[in-house]
Amino acid sequence: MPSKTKPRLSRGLLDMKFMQRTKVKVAKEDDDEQSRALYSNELNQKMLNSNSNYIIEPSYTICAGLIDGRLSFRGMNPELERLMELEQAEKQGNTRPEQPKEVNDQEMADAYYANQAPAVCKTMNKKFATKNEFNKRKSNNGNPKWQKKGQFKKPRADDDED
Amino acid sequence: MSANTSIIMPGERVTLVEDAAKNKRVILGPGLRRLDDKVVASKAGPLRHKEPNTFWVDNYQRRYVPARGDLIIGIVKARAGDLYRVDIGSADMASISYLAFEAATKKNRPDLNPGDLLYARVLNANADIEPELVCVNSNGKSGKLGVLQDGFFFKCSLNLGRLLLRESCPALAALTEELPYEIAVGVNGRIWVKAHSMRETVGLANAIMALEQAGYSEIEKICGNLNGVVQA
Amino acid sequence: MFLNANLFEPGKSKSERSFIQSAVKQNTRFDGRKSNEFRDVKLTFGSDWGTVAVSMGDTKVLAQVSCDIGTPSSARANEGTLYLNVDIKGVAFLDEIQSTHDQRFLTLNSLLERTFRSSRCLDLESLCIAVEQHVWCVRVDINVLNHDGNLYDASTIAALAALMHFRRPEVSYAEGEIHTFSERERELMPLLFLHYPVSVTYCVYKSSSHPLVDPTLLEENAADSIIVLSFNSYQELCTLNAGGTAPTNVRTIMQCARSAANRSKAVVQFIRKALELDAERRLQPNRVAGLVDLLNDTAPMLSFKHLMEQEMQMEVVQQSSCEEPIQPKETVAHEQLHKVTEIAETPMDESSWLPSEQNLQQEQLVEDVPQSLKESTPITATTSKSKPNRGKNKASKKQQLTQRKQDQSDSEEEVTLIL
Repeated sequence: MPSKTKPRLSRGLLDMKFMQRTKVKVAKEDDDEQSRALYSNELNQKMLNSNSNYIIEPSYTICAGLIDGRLSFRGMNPELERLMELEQAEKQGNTRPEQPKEVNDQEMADAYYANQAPAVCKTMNKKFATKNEFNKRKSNNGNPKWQKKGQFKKPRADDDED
Repeated sequence: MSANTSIIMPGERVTLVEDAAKNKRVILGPGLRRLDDKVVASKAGPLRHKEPNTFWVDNYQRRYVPARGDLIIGIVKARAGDLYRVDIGSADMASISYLAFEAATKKNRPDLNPGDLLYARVLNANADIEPELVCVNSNGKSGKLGVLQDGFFFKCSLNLGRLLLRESCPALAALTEELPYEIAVGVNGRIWVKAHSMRETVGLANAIMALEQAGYSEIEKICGNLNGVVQA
Repeated sequence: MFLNANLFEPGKSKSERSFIQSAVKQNTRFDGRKSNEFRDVKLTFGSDWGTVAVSMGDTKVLAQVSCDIGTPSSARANEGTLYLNVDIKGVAFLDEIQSTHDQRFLTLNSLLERTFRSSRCLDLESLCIAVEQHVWCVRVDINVLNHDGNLYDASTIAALAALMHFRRPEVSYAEGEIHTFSERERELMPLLFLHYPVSVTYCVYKSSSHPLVDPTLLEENAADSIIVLSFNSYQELCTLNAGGTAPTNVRTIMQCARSAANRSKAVVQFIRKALELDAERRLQPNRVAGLVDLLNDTAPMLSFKHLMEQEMQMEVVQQSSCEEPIQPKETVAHEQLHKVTEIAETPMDESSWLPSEQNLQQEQLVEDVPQSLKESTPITATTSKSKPNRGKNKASKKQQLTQRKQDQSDSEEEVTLIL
């Protein structure tokens, strides 16, 4: 029986902190299975097989495409207006504005070649190269801008959203 | 939105929708019901259609029927254990957990008292259980939701609320030209407004209430006169 | 809009209440009225005798009077009965729970009972057909159609107008048999009145010393206390209903009482005028107005503002022709009202019972008001104002005076104590 031999995670494991997401997933699966079992004798074949062209949507908001009703105009509530602007921008562009690059592509490539050249012979060389030499080599390349120190940008809150 | 103004009555078979459903999927909004392979109206009013495939009946109604995802204004009525009871105008009192606010924890409860106004989202709407609200989005941020302070609050028909929230509605833009203001419109037919002075707030509320009788077509005309209403 | 613009009561949220409070402080009202301005009262008489619909703004009340021959109670064998029935189920949607519905019903009912029954405004003895056997039982059905505040005034005006409009058939009683004459045989008879009481409602707010008159439902719900005063056309107090939490002092109540007395007089005058016009209209054919006309506002209406304005103009013209130069025509209703009453008033001993600036006199006045309440019961239609037993009460009055050194009265109990 394949269904019985289906591997299950032990409760002890699921209670561990890093397993919380899986725990929710497992609980949902269990729930679904239970409800399927509950209604299985009430659902007839026709109901299961008919794929209707109708979708029921009970909300006017979604049907009519209504906007959010919380609005502020002409600086009454600046915080709210900022939110509205962000939303508007997102709707229009549907892409978030590109984050400005601290180091441009050209510099990146230069640095790559200056730092760790693709040739194997240079890897050993590099090991013994001092920081001073590295800088010298780079300035030979004629890009004094590299002196600027690169910085990390603070990640945005919604970066991992999609 | 097409200028389709055919009026349908409850029990009437809506062949227009059935035809549309022959070759594509169709979304049936409130007021339309599927009986086997027929589509029948359950409310009276003009049949609305939104491209590409949404149909619904825009009936006149005052009693709010909660639907998942709606943004509504509720009045806090009481505190009951872990919940607040909120009047949203539906047949049942809605409930909101005290954890459903931004940065709320078991220790740090939101400070809500009876009579406070909430702008919230309907999380759960079911005929058999009481509706449940939230004041945070999926990221745990409050965004636009939350308690509404000061200002003035009044109730209107559900239609007026929906009318104001259409994307192309000229009313709010027309009012913006008159004065700076802040507004919250709940689709449960409740409106909260706030302007700088009391006189302005009164004018604003009266102007919005004057739109109560407006339809989609007349609204442009009325918006022209809003200026006068606000002044008076 | 006929129904309340919502299925729910306004004034249940904090922002509404605090908004109204601050509005009162700034002396503005939501509908643009002044704090002492009334809404227009409109009367619509039905085709039946004793059917009247009253509307004040969006508040609408329908009153219907009927009569029946019944047996009197043993205690009052020679008097007919007056029964008041209030039905507020039409606005039951406002109530969330049964208890608020009951509360609303009881307050309204008790106000009407006290205004019309306890004050004995009808001459019940004239309704007696045969002592201990047959009397007329007059029944007033008051039906609240829509509630937008000040149900009290609307109901009392409706009840009074309906009673004044009502006609009963004449009967003869001989040898134990009652014969009721039909309308063709003998003309129908109006009821006999001893006095004509009407109530006036005020809302008091903590934020302001000026009470609001004729409140809307929003104002009523936001109010800290509500004062209802019933006065008859002789400016005698019939009912005083004061409750709530706002600190109401004697001065405020007396202020209210003074203007309420004037207002009541004007309202009764208006009802009389409206009845006259209705009588004229009845002589013409095709004047049937049904409920549908009423709901559609197409029935012939008699408006307070309209009628009293006419009268005002007439009076002003009369007056100006003899003594004064023509006064500019006022448009604000309350000013007209005030003038109307001033002009029309017969000289009364106002000075003796209306408050002056002095505190002591004011104290006396408070004593006087309940006295007139006591007196109002047995007076006849012709007497105006009489205080025969003032001297008798002097001793007890003094006692009360010392009792009430501080004239702040915060609650209903204290107000009743004064009475």
